[in-house]
Amino acid sequence: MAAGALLGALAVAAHAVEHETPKDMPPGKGRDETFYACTACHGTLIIRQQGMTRDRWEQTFDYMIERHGMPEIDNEDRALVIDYLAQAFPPRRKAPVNPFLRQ
Amino acid sequence: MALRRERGFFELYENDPERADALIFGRRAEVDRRGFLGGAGLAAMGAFVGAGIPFARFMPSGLIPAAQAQTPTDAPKMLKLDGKADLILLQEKPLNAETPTHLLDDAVTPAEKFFIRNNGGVPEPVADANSWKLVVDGEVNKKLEFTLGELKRRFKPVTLQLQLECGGNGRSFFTPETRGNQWGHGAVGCAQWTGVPLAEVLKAAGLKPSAVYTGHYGADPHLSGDPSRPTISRGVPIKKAMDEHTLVAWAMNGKPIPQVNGAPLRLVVPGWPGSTSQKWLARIWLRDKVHDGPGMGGFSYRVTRTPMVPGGKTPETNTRILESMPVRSVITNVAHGTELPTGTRELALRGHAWAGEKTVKAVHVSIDYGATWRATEVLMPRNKYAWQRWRTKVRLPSEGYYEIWVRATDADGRAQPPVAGNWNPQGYGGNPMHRVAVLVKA
Repeated sequence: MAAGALLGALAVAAHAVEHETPKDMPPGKGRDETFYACTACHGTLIIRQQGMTRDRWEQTFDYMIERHGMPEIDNEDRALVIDYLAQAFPPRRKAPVNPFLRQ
Repeated sequence: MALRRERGFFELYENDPERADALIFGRRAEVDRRGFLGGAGLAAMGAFVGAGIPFARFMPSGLIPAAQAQTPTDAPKMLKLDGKADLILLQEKPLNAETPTHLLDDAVTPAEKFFIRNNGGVPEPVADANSWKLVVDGEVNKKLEFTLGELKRRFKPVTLQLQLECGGNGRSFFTPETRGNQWGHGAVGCAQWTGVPLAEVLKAAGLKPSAVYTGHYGADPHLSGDPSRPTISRGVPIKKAMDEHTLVAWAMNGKPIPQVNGAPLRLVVPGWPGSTSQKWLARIWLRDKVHDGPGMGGFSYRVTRTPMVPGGKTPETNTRILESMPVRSVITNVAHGTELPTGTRELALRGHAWAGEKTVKAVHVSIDYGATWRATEVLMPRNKYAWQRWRTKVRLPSEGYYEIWVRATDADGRAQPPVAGNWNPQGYGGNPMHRVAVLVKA
């Protein structure tokens, strides 16, 4: 419900790169919401370059609010977007052996 | 399906490179953790890169051959923009594009090949550049406002070759990934800049003893559309601001600066992260403390004081502002993936090397994965902060697959590492050696 409200509210705003659509990002739950939340300011290419854990995606989400003035969204949508980013763009370059990082 | 097979290849290497070597190529690490056992593995890897590998016994275990280091799904998109060469497009909005290393061969980087790194929108060009205004205020005896026309008349212009490099150049080499544009080695250029030393402008305003840092503001609009929010505002200590090579510049290679690179007026703070070289420069605010504009806090443009676990956490107090960029070199006359004609046994190599605040004292190349190194001829910089040309010739003893590695050493004896070390959350200062794969055809 809340996700739909977010989508409805943001879908009316133009997104940053005109030719882009949610389909420019991998399928997954929360793709549309993520697309419209992020592309109000920037294109999808910067998202698609990243590979991060959920924890670091969450830090990035807060960084966008604090550093770049992204509007805060309610907790349910926040979790939906961060979950999507974490599953669609996980770390790809893993250190071969890192005994200090057990998550 | 080819794509599926290659994805499996990368996943295997990510999870356990040595096991991947064994499984895919039948290659096993020797006791010294280098090289092959067994001719079958060698042949298999050779087949994968499309050639025999003459120095395979020196190839570090777990190393993905440079020819395969880019995943097929990440084939680069190219920038299509009038007045610009075929740069590698990293983002459309904000616009970010890097120069392929084989386009960095010119001694002085032409405007069309100069990389683009923007944080916000690109301002509309102004009709009359000379009416552009620059304000100097804060900890000064007299607040000044200049038009660009007045700047040109009042101060004596200088022209210098200055290298400008994004603070995140090399970010794509960090493991695990760090946040931001995944630059290779090409977020750099060395153009000929014309302007006035910032020191002269600051002297005209008169620095108060309380002035310790600058804060720079440009006209680029914030992507959120909020006009009260600066896109980025960084600064430098007074000592760097007063360096005679730090310029308020209006011309690049004798012509107006391209709009995407900061026309009509920008700072050029050579040797430091490019973000200190504010584009579309409108205001310099002299501060009585370290500047705190957007891009000065958190983990932005900061590296660690004590080393942190890659991918782990560290408090912001364990970071410091990245000032001088580290030493780096690139091979510019041979593109990655070049096929050389049958019978080629000698290859001329050249490129550039630079080291932030320092000069480069040596550049070495290797064609055998670092087992042996050859010193190259390194020319002096045209002026301080210009990059330095290096050149040499190497002998390729046979046909097959080679990787050319280049490694520069700065005046303090610090050389480029084989990997991006000193991991930090936003990926600054990654300066591993540049690797170029070539194939001598059978």
